[in-house]
Parts: sequence; C-alpha cells; structure tokens
Amino acid sequence: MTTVEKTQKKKQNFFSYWYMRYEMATEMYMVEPWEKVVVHALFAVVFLLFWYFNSAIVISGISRLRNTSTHVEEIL
Amino acid sequence: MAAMVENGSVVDFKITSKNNVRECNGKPVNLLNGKVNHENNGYVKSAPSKNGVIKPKVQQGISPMDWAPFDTNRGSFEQCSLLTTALTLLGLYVLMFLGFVNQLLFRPKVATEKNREGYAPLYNPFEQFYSRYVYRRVAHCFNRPICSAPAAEITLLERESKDYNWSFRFTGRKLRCLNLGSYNYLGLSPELGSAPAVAAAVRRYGLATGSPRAELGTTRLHHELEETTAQFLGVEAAIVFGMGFATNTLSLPGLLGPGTLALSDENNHASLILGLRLARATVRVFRHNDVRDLERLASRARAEGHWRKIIIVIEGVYSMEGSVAPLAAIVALKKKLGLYLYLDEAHSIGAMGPRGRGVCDYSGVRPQDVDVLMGTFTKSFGAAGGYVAGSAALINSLRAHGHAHSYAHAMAPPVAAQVLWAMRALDTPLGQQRVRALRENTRYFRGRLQQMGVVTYGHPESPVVPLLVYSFSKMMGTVERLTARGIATVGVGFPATPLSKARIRFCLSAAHTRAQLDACLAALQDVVDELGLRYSRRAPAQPLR
Repeated sequence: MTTVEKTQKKKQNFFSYWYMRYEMATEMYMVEPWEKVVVHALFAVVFLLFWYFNSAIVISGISRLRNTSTHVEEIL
Repeated sequence: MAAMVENGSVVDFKITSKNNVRECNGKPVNLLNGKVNHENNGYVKSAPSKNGVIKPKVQQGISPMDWAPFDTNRGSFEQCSLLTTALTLLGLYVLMFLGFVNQLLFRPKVATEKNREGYAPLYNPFEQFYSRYVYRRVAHCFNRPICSAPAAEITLLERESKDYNWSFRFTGRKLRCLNLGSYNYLGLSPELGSAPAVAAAVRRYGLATGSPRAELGTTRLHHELEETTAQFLGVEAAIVFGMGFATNTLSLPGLLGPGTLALSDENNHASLILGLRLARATVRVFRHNDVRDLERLASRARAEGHWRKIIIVIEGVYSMEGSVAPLAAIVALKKKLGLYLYLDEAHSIGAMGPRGRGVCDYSGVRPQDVDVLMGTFTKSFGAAGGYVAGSAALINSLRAHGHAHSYAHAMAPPVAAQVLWAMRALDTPLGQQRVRALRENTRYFRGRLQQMGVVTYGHPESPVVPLLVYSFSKMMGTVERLTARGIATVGVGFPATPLSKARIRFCLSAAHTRAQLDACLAALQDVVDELGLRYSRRAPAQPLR
C-alpha cells in the first residue's frame, strides 16, 4: 500500500467513525436508510434556516449598529 | 318530642329529647318558637372554658429522626451533563417523528384489528405505537433465545432480520458467550451436586403436584423447605410459592386491604406495584432510597391518624439501579413511628451479606425486626418460586388469606429439592466461598468500570451493575458489539427505565473467573472507546491491586 492510499484509508476511517458517532448521538443509528435521508434533509433545512437568519438578520443588524453613530448622537 | 317544627315535619331524627330539654332550658327562644336550625338543632357550643379549667391542646408532633448514627447512603446516581440529556431527548423526538411518518405512510407488518367499529381498541394506542416504531428497532437486543444452561457461559441462538426487525429468522448458528445477563448470582448449577436430589424428587413425587398447596399439593419436601427457609433466615416460619412474581402479587392482597397505607419506593418492582394495586391499599411513593423523604411521608401519615396499618414497602437490592436499601435506617424509623416493613429480597438473598443471608445480614439488622421478609428462589438458588417469612402468626394468616397458597399450583417437587439443596449448600465451606467470590467479583468489576470513566449506578457491593448509556442507539450499539465479542448482556430502556436513561445491565456471578471478567472488561473498554461512553465527570478511582 502506498503512502497516498494509506492516508486516504485513514481519512476514510476518520470520516466513517465520526459519521457513526453522529448517528449514535441523533438516534439515526437504529433507523432505516430512507428515514435517515428524511432526518438528514430536515437537519439540513433547519441548518440552512439558521444560516439565513444569521446572515440576513443578525449579521446585518450588527454591522448596521457598528457603522452608524446615530445612537451616540441620541445619547449626547 | 320537641323537635316538631312549623309545618309539622320532623327535621332531624337524631335529636334526643334529653338534649332538647337541656338546650331549651338554657335558650328558650331557640327551639320552641318554630325556628329550627336544620344542621345543629339549635345547640350552640359553649366556650372551651366550661368549668374554668382550660385544657392545653396536646401537640401530636413527632420529633424529627436523628439520622447521624445510620448509613443513609442512597447509592451513587451520577447526573449526566445537560448536553447529554438534550441530545438524548432530541434523539427521542427524532424517533417519535419518524414513527409518526412511518405510521402515516405504511401499513405495519403485523396483525391489525379489523371489523371492530364500535368496539374499544384492544391495545393502548400509544403502547402499540411505541412497540412498533421505537422498541421494534432495538428488538434484536431483547428476547434472545438461548439453548444452554445459564451458567458462567451461555449459548445464544443467532437470529437475523431482513425486514428491520418486523420478523426474525434463525441462521442456525450458535454463539457461545460469556453470561453477564442471568441472575445466577452464586453460579449454582446442577453439575455441582444437586442432580441426585432433584432426580429423586422427580421419581418420588413427579414433576408437578397437580394441585394447590391447600388441597392435595403439599409434600414432605414443601414442609422441609419451609422449615429450612425459616431457619436459614432466622425467623419463626416461612411459606413458599411456585412463582417469584406471584409471591409479591398474591401475598400483598392477603396482608393489606383498603384503609391501609403503603409507603412504596419509587423504583419498586412491577410485582410489588401490582400487588399493592390488587390489595386496594392507598399508595404513596417516596424518592428512591431517600430516608428523609420516607420520614416526611411517614410522619405525615401518622399525624393523619386514620390508617389501619402503615407499611413501608422496599426492596433489598434494586434490579435496575443496582442500589441497596439503607435498611438499618429504615428499621429505626419504622420502630420509632410504629410502622410495618415489607422487604423484598429477590436480588439480595444469597447474594448479599457475609453469610449470604441477604440485606439484613449485610446491614446488621435482626431479621425479626423486619415484619415481612420476602424473597425469591429464582436468582441465587438457581431454581424457581419465592417465599415469605416472618412470625408464625403472619405466615398462618397468609396461608388463610393469601391467594397463592389456596389457588396457585404448588411449587414443583424437583424445584423444591433444588432449593433445599442450594440452601444447604450455601452453609457449606464451598457455599461460603461462593458468597465471598461474588463479593470479590463485584468489587473488582465495579472498581474497574469506575476507572474506565463510565457512569455506573448503585452501591459498590451490589452484584447488579447498570452502566448508563442514555440513548437507545448506544444501548443497541453496545449490546451488538459486546455480543460480537462474545459477551451476552442485557440492555434496558424505557419502559423499564426512565425515557432518557437507557442502560446496560451486568449481573455478576460467583461462577465468573477473574480471567472471564478481564475478557469482558477488555471488550467493554473497546466498545466504550468506540462509542464514547465515558460520561463520568468524577475523578477516576485509584487502580485496584
């Protein structure tokens, strides 16, 4: 086995191990394959919604706060 | 009669003329003017100081118990982190959600109720849902068929399922595994010498008596067993039954009844709970092994003053928690408040205490101080059935009022012979050596698990060792991996435990050698590393020896 193959194998093991741990933590270890797909899709949707919420509302809100000085003027 | 009123009807028949005379003498306006108070016939209570002497109100207060001289250790119940709880609950939500989706889309591959419009459903809908869509996924970890005696090793019949556990098929392969699941605490098996006695009993009396004890089912063996049990426990008398579960379920209704209050531990076995329900006793539940909570409930019940009997119902060793009851403290409380005590020694008799006499022996309590001693022959004695022991009056009453003596089939004679043999063997040097071996195995195994950094519940001396894995997937993963490495254990989840507290239960035996335990611990170490079961946040203990 060449070094490249070894590294690849190691990577594969690493990913399959942590995928198994992820399945264990979310109880997906014991469900049928199609059910895994449904739950993955659900998690992806929730994750993307959070992402959108963060980028669209939280980050823009913070940047607006940082760039404006109206509140300082109000206080003064 | 002075109680005639305006319309001529008699308002209150309880009124005595003597009373009325007295009242009317004092208060002429009250009765005879036709104005009658319906409730109290005009009698007005005088002030408390009738003759000038004021009786002080006696406060029926019960001084709080001083727990300092007693061991009130509940056992170790390490809390898991918030993250673990949150993830376990999230996993349960995922399973429930998938279950509903599954139920909505597919027809379950099981028998369904048909043409039952207008009838109540045969099964509880939630239980049905739970067993089909949660329990079914892990069903291969339970109900595993075996084909050998449950000694230190056990043979499992391998099964496989091609439709996600809706149905199983035997592969024909047999798996020889180390047995850490059976309750064979002392590892007594027929090859140790009981076989001739048991065979003689079969030849003489047959396999079954075909009758309850109260009719034609009592043999000399039964009398001998009852006498030996009473002597073994150090009490006056004992009665034996053919089934351990029924011992509790059918004896409690014979002992208690309506108007009785049972103070029951929250982790009591199903047989005790069922028995208390059948007895129609009022049940109040106290926190597991918590003597202060028990004291609070008991003194409140004493103050209520209307209970015919108040009985504390506890177990010696709890089979799901691996904890040991703080018996000395509970006996002191019971004596102080004048309560009764029912002790279920199913898992502790033979397994606990320096002489194997159970948790009384272990905590140094006189067996006479426990009103009802109950235990089973199914665990340490390697047989079947159960006993109730105590005073002769109690046992006689149980023969008359308990249902098992009159209606249940008598204990099978070969079983009685096996129990007799085991009870006598326990007092031989070999038997005592087994009790010591179990204790050493327990200490060693629990100590090593603690070093491993996993969460175990219970008492350091209890031979039942629950290892907490919290979620169903981890329970299933652990049981599967241990079976593949040749270790047979039992995973336990809801409804036997709280929803998010699934666990693996190891039952130790005196028959396990140190090498076998080491092999099990090595396999477990691999699984713990792989699945990340090191939940303990306590400092690891010092290595043993």
